[in-house]
Amino acid sequence: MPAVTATQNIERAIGAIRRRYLPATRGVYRFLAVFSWFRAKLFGLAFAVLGQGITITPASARPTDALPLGSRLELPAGPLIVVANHRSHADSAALLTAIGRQRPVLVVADAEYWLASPIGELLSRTLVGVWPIRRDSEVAYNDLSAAAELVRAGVVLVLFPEGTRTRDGKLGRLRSGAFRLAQETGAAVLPIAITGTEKAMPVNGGFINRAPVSLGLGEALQVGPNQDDVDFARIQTASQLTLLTRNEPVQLPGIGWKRVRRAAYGWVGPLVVFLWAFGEGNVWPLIAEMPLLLMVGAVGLRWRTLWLITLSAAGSVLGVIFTWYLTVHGTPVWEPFTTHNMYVEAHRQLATNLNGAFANQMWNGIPVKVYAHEAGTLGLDLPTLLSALGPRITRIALVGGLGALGGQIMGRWLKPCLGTIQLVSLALFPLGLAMSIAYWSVNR
Amino acid sequence: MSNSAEQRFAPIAKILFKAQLFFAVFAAVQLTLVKVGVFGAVPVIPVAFFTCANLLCLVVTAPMFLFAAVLMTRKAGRTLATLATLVLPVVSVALVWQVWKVCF
Repeated sequence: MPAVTATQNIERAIGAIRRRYLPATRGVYRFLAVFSWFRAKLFGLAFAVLGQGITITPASARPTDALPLGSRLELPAGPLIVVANHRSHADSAALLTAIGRQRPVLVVADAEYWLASPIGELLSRTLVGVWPIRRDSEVAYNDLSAAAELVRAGVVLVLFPEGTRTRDGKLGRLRSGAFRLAQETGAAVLPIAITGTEKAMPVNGGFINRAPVSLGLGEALQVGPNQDDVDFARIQTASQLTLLTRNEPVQLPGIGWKRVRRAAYGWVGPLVVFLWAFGEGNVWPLIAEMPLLLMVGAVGLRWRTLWLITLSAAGSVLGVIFTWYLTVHGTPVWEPFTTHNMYVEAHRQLATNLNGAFANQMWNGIPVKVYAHEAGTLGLDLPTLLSALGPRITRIALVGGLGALGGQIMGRWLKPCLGTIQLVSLALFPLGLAMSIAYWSVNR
Repeated sequence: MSNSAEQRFAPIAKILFKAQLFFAVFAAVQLTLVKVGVFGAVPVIPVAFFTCANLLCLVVTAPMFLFAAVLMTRKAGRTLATLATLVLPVVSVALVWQVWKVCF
């Protein structure tokens, strides 16, 4: 059997990709929309955690008015082709991150480079989502033109008309393919200038460095019907990209960080911290320190942190007293996510070693409301209960203080990705809660 | 001029190694803290927290482990850092298993 040549492999991969996306039905559009959204989230996370986030400057806005990633972009409606300068492999990821959350995206890429090996093909088809063209051949425009149906269907095609990554930072000569395709499909051409990726992922060596990336949106163009119009659009795009790439990339806090900080300095944050801690003392299953940690992390070592810790501690103490009071007066309290063994253990600790009971509660996973309930069952008086709550307040102060210190030190890392950390923590919390319940479901 | 295979793989191998080393050190620290008794006799909350964090670490480092295995199949990728990237996750998993066993 004759060996399959590299060229045959590339042609097979190109054929497979075209068959996947063509004809450009509604189903293909939906698939690409969902696929692009996931990739946008994945790359956004990578830029936030490994880099220093992405900022976007809308057309005709000053660089100082840049928006953090997650802001809604004003993309032209209808068929759209995005053309960008090319400085790094991270360019595709940056554009996918910004556009993919709003529109389905495919990136035009060199087939000979991306589809030459099985790993490259796998990455380009799954992680990037490429539309391959054979760049160094006479069929380049035919390959590109095959995507016209997708562009008309609303898929955003991303092109780097320089054809290769720049080595000196200067914008190279733009090839005409993107503009001819825009002319053919009636798509708008949106120039986007990318800066910072050359430091985040340099062309020669280096994998991922911590550097901010900025995307500067230009004014969208429509290409007229004549050959001159293609040249005019090319020149206009080049001039816009040259101008926009002069702006230095800036690092901005992510939307999550801004919202949390605004809440912490307003009235909403303190209220949430207080009610959360109060609620944990009776019905709420999530620990008091969760919103506290989030807010003090964004505030850092400021007086506001002390205020938030005080409110959390006060809320917690009042929540415990509330449950104790209801139990003493025979009113049943609904305490979800608790087990019989938790009550037995809390009762034993309160009866045998009152001062050590709440110290054990710091780490043993039995909710504080169980201790409050059992304190009421035992008929402890209020001064005795209050005197035993020292370790409870200590834990809140300790977590709050350490969180503020961590936020002060790690602020520059947390700024772009606090929202993501918040989501991951909330997603993992049920697992931690389930582990506590599982532990106390068995007789100890 | 294109990069040599060694140049292309070296930075990747380095970041893989750093990530795996971080996980191993983190696992060792948590086991020490739990065993020494910093969190009392029944450290359910710390163990639950560490387990969640370890799961995250595993999600990140498992693909790196596989990637290191692929690198080892290439001559240019066969370095001490790549070998360590294959060995360290085994150590980390053994350590986090010990942490888990403190409570479960």
